Amino acid sequence: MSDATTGATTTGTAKQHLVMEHLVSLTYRDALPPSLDRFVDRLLEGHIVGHRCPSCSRVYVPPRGYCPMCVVPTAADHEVEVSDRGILTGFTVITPIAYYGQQETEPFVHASVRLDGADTTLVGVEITGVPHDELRMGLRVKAVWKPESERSTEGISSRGWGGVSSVIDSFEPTGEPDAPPDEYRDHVF
Amino acid sequence: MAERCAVVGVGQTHFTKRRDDVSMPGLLREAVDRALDDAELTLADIDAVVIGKAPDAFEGIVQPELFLADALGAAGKPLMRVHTAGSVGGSTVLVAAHLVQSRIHRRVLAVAWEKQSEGNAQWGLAGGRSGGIGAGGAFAPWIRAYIQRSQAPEYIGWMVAVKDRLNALKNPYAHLRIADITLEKVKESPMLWDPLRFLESCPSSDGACAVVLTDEAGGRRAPRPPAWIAATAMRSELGQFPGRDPVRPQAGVECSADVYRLAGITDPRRQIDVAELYVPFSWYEPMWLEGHDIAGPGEGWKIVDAGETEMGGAFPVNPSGGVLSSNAIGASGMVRFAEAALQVRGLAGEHQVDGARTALAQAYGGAAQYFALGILRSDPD
Repeated sequence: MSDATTGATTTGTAKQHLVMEHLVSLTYRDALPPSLDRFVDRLLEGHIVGHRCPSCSRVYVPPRGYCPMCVVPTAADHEVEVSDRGILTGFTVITPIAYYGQQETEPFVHASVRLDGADTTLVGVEITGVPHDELRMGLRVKAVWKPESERSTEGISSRGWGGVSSVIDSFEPTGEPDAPPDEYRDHVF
Repeated sequence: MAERCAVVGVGQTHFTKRRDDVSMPGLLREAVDRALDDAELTLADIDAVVIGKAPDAFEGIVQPELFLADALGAAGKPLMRVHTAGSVGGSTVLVAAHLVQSRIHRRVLAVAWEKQSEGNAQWGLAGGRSGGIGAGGAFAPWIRAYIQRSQAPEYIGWMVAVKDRLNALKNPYAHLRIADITLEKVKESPMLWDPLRFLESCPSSDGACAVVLTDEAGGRRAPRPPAWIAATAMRSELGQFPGRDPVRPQAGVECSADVYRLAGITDPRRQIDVAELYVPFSWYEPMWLEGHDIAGPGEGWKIVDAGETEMGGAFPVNPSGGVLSSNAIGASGMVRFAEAALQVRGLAGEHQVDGARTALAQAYGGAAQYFALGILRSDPD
């Protein structure tokens, strides 16, 4: 057996490649479903749209083209525009852990925001304009849009884990009074 | 009626930061050989193999089941892989049990593992992108919501962190061995994902776990006392939907209701002698006590506070030290079932709960959206 740390073997042959550096770059073309394609078009123009389920009236942002609760399709005629203001429903402050590709070095906010008019939350948004120790559930926030020329579709994905950060930099407090727990406790995610 | 199913063999590797001395197949064989030794069987006696691990991206080895068949003695036999994120070890045991209960196979080997040192789970969870939040970052907002909802004092999380690490000192397979851990040390450890501190979080481990399951005849012939699988239940739900309660997910509530009903349990807190719950972050102990109706809403932390979940308490939780002390991710769910089996077999050694005859094993995964539960008993009926 060789020693994995030194690569020494009984024959004296150096085995320096027991640890393999294998960096792979993959380029994906992500085909967006029509509902998300439309969402992106409107987002780049500074508007946030969703679909209202014809059965239960829940509003999904981004629109999914279906209501997963009622299992019914939704389409363009179910489109509604929602506000770019909402409620901070849940959050944590992340201490970045180093890994290949990690560029974050300072603690950052990972928050969920329920936009006014939506029944879903935007997940993984940054909150700015307030010290981390003053963050709280129920805080009223509004979108900080990137200038139109700087907006891109970089973070948009149909596979989950995507976000709107390539268009909306962060959310910041509006200064309005906090929302009562009834308005956020069922929207922690 | 379904065939009775017994756990007749349990094997674990020692969980540790990195196992450079063995390959991935070698790591699995270590657990498998121990489980077979316990059952006094050989690979030739096994009819089928079921394996489970967390996402391939964690080690960067895609479809490891393709190269493990020979090492697991599965050439020419059915081998299948289960995949339910962090709950996978639990689901793997349940799928193996179902193969026996449905009389498809008589002796099934279930194996689960993670060799975290060969990859980077943080990279895997982040999908290779910057700004990854890790599992702790995903669960932290729900833990905050639990604390706010239940009005629990913050030392509850520290208490669980201390209890599980002290239990781990009695388990020879546990990874973390922090003999001098105190509430003060946990409190002073760095804040990683507010409100979760470093010592309230699980480690990254290499390790594997295996169990051998047989039909009733196999259970009755077993050289050592078997653990009988009295009931199993699995549930899943969408990771995100309007009105979802990630603090007490409905799938978890229904999963435990199902497993209690099947096992004839009406008062889980009194009828279950010991529980191995999937607690990767300290607050999940009170959260699952409530999430599986062992305690009423807002009451889970009070059971912790009263010391009931300690080794000598009325409802011991994670005498093995739990996921907080050893986390080879894919294996962690199976270890809950393996440890529950050891308890009702009376073979848990220094961390044996006196007189344990009914045990609850639980695993959860994904965005707290996959659940695998089992009730294991000393007696077949």
